[in-house]
Amino acid sequence: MNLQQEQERFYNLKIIILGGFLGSGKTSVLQQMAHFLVEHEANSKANTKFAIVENEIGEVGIDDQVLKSAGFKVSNIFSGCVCCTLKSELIKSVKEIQEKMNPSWVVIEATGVAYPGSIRKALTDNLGLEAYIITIADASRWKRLVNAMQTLVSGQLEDSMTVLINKTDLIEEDTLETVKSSVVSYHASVEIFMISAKQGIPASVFEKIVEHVKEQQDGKQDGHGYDGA
Amino acid sequence: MENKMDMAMTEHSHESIPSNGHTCNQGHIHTGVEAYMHEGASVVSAEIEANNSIKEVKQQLTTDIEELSHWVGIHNGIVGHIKAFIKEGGNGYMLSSTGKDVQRKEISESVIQISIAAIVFQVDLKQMKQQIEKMLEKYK
Repeated sequence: MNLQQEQERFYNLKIIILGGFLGSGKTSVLQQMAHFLVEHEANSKANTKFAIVENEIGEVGIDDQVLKSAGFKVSNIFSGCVCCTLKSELIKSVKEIQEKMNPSWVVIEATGVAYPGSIRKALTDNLGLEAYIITIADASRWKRLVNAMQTLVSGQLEDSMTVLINKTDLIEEDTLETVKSSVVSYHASVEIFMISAKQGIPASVFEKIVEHVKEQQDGKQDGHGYDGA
Repeated sequence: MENKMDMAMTEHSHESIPSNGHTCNQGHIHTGVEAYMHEGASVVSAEIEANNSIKEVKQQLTTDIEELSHWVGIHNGIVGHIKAFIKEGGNGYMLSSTGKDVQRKEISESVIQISIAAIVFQVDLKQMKQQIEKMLEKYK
């Protein structure tokens, strides 16, 4: 691969940031998303590679063990948030993944207290890479979290492009509408899907997300990103 | 909005609990049970090896996580999450709670390795660490 092809490949890397509060179901969504993306891409072209960057607070990682047990290769960034103190670790990880694996997709699972918008900014500022932000909202305890941690919850939502309202199987229809209205009150234009990761996320949700990520890539190439010249 | 961004972009304060362990290059104290503050959350994690049977460990950890969630609740705290991962040979088993029931997930099934991570808000870090140390005594 020549330099221009390498550059093109680098800037065509599709990155998804999965955000959302602790316990919202990010890892469960990630596992299903990984399966979908690998199968989806396998149908369209060969040698699709998918990488996961797992950021956890605490000295002991649990989510990375779950993902590794499910057969995924995971790059870990522990003991802090990639949205602030560990930004350089994130940049290093993405570069390393690109050099060693050259994947089509990278999914970054943020910690439950991270602001996905800050992670996206770090990628754009330092690597010139665009990223698509999906925030998972826990419908079953939304009201309590919003009351106790409004700044964090609203901060996680404000830069989101898609919100997946998860655990819909645990609450009544009218409560679900209240959660949806609350999410919209923080981010009026965001696309919302109601899901239950436990019951299985429909392929149509992931198809829509893939479509948006590709639109974002196309927009970047038409605009201020890499133009292949 | 401005406050949020300030908080997000500022260095975190890591308030470790002093103990008799060794200090790592990140300034944390390692004694088996690690504890520090992160963005207002008490973060406590541990990794231990248990000599009990896998069945006993699963049952006991389910009860312990329920009790820990309850303990956080009666101290007016909020459970971010409490997660445990049990590893035996090539098989894994995850338990998690966000304050209510404990969810169990079989990944596929000597010495059993247990990893636990609890992130809770509005609860004293030292008390939380002591609670987890007390809980883990049962597995040694």
